[in-house]
Amino acid sequence: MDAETTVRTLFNLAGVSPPEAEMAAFIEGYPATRASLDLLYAVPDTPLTDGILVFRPAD
Amino acid sequence: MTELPLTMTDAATALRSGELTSVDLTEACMAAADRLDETLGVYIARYDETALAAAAEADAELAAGTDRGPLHGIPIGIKDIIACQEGETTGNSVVYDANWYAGADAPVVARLRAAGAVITGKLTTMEYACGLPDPDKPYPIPRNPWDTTTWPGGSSSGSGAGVSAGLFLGALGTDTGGSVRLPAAFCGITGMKQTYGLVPKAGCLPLGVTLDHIGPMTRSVADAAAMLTVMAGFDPSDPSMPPGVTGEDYGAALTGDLSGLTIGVERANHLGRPGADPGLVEIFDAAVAELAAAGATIVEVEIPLYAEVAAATMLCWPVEAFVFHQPWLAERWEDYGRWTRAVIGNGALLTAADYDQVLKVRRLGKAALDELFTSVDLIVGPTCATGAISYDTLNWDSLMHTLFTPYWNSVGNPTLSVPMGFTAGGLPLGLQISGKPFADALVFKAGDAYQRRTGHHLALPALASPAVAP
Repeated sequence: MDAETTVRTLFNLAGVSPPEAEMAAFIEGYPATRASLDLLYAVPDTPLTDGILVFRPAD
Repeated sequence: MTELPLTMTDAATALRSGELTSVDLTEACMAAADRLDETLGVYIARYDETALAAAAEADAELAAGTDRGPLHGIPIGIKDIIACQEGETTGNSVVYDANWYAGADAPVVARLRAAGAVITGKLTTMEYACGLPDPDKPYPIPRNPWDTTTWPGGSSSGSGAGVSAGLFLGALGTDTGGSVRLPAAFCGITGMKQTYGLVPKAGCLPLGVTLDHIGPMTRSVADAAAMLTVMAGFDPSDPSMPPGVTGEDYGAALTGDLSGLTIGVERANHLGRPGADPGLVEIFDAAVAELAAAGATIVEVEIPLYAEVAAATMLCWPVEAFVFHQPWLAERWEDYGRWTRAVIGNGALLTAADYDQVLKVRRLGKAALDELFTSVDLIVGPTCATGAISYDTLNWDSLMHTLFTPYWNSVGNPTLSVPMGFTAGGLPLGLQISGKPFADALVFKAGDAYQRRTGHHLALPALASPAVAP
């Protein structure tokens, strides 16, 4: 799916309708957001026991 | 005419010796606001009448032998996303619920008030702690006391500028990606993002609920430690707090001696960024030398997954903010500021799988950092790559380019910013000191040791000539 279709679809599903000029800016910026996410998907996985991020004094 | 103390700690001494009253101190702060606020844009709302009443009560209590501790009679400002009983909380937005926490204090404000603090008013923030200043909206444009053509940083903009210029001696800020530490660095003051979950966040408008912290902003580390001592500890209103978590007397750890501590210096991800201030490396090295001179053993470290975890912060909070604002965004999109719309709107563009991957990388990053902290007690780096950004060049890209703060929100560790010197143009630079979760006292100890050996935190911008008692 191209950036324009993705961005329009996600905003539509989220129930928000930015005006066209701002929609164009979101579409233009979407590849950078995707690149940041790709960086995170590229992190090597390791087995995790904690299902959520917790902060405890014993950490 | 008596020159007023710069720090809460010195003011507390003067209040008890009879050299000064809380009313004197509060009136001097109000006089500074009368003189400077039109230029600096610090206040959204001033509570002069109730502040003076609180100051008079503080004086009467001290005279009667009732001493509530280091904050007793001290003027403190509150960022306008945190509820105070005196007035509404706007979030610097025209889109807000005037009935939210109406007439009530957030728990953290109630704690400050119970400790005798004099609440002076509500302070400028970026809209909902995330947009950039917007001249199209009916709120002040905050300016940096060191150079009023520059931005004081944000989102706790009024908190930073106001402490720096002497409009109050301390302030509450909030920090989701650096919003305490960035204005602290840009305004030449001290700011603490304590361990996530140590201070209750109820009564504070959320930005990123898994990243938000309410933190103290002050002239000195000793003052920030005094504030956090009062602010920290479990409150059932905040489900993100570890059950039963307690604070401590953070001032007790401040000895000036860092013997026995190992401090990791993080250059790999902090130095050499294109566009960084040319003096940054030399000033940072001088700061590290002071820590060594205070007794610390210095080693070089590299934080694993730094870029990934920093990116996770900046991807995470827009999603969480979008969820909070979605009903209003759907109905009143254009009532939000243009920068706010741009950054929160991005939160709609991550899928559930994307958001869960963000959380997973945060867990992996935290595990890797925990491992690094088995070999060091603290990690230091600069807070920002540059001094304050000129309004001529301020935009989201220039802001992201200078920040070294977002990483620490994703992992939750305590992180302090202290002034470490000035650019050639006379703008403050900050040193960031981080510790293990709940090692907040150790972070303060290092920052205080540094401030005992340097005077950067006591430097005043030219427009804030020392205040005097009336």
